[in-house]
Amino acid sequence: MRNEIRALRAARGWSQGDLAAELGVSRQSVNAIETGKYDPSLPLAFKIARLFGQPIEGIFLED
Amino acid sequence: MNIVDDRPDDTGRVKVLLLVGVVWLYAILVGSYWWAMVAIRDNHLGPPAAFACSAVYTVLILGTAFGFIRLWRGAVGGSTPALRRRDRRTMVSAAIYAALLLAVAWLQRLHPVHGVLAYALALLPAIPVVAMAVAMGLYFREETDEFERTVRVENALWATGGTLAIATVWGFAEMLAQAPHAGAWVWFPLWAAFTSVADIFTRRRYR
Repeated sequence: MRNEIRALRAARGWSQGDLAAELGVSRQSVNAIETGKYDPSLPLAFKIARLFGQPIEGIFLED
Repeated sequence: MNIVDDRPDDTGRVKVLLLVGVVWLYAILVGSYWWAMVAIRDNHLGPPAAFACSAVYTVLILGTAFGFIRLWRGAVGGSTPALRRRDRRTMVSAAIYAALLLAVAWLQRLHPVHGVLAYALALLPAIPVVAMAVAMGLYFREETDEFERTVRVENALWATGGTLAIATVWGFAEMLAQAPHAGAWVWFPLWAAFTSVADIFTRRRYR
C-alpha cells in the first residue's frame, strides 16, 4: 500500500528515528512502512493514525 | 527540517564483510586448534593438555561468536529488548553447552560409561542446545516490533528450508557416495548460520 507517512513526518520535522521512538518500533520498521515495502498490522496502523491525528484511510492508500 | 536519517537500510555490505571476517576467523581458530591437538598427540602430552587446549579454544570460539553478534547488532541496528534478551539467553546457554560438552567428553575419556548412563551423559550437552531453540521461540513470542518479528520469521523459514535441503542431499551423499558422516548435531548451528545469511536478503527486500 502507498502511504503519506513520510510527508506527515516531514511536516512535523521528525526523523524516522523520532517516529520510531514514538511508535515503539525500530527505525528499520518505519523505513519499511514508509517505502510501502511492509504493510503494518491494524493495531500499528491505528497507532500511526492516532499519532498523526488522521483516519487510517487518510494515511494509507490503496495502490 | 530534521529528517536526516532517511537513509535506506544499506547495511548489506557491512553484513557481508562481517560474515566473511567471522568465517576467516573461525577457519584460523579451527585450523590452529587442529594443529595444537595434533601436536599434543604427537608429543604424548596426554588428556589433560588436550582438555586444557579444548577449553582455551572453546573460550576463544565463544568470544568470537559473542563479539560477532555485538558487531552485527551495532552495524545493522534493529536491536530490540526482546532480541537482546534472546542474545543473552543464547550466550548463557552456549557457555553452559561448552562447559558440559568438555565435562562429558572428559568423563567418557577417563571413566567410559555405556548403556542408559551413556544416553544420560549424551543428554547433558544437548539440554543447553535445546535451550537455545527455546530462546528463539521465546523471542518470537516476546518481540513487540512486528516488522522485526516478520523479518526474523522469514529468516527462520529460509534457514529451515536451506537446512532441510542440505541435510537431505548430504544424507543421500552419505548413503550413495560414501560422503563423510555428518552428526545430527551439525544441523542446528547450520540452521542458525543460515538465519544470519537469510537476514541479508530478507532485509534487502524491505529497503
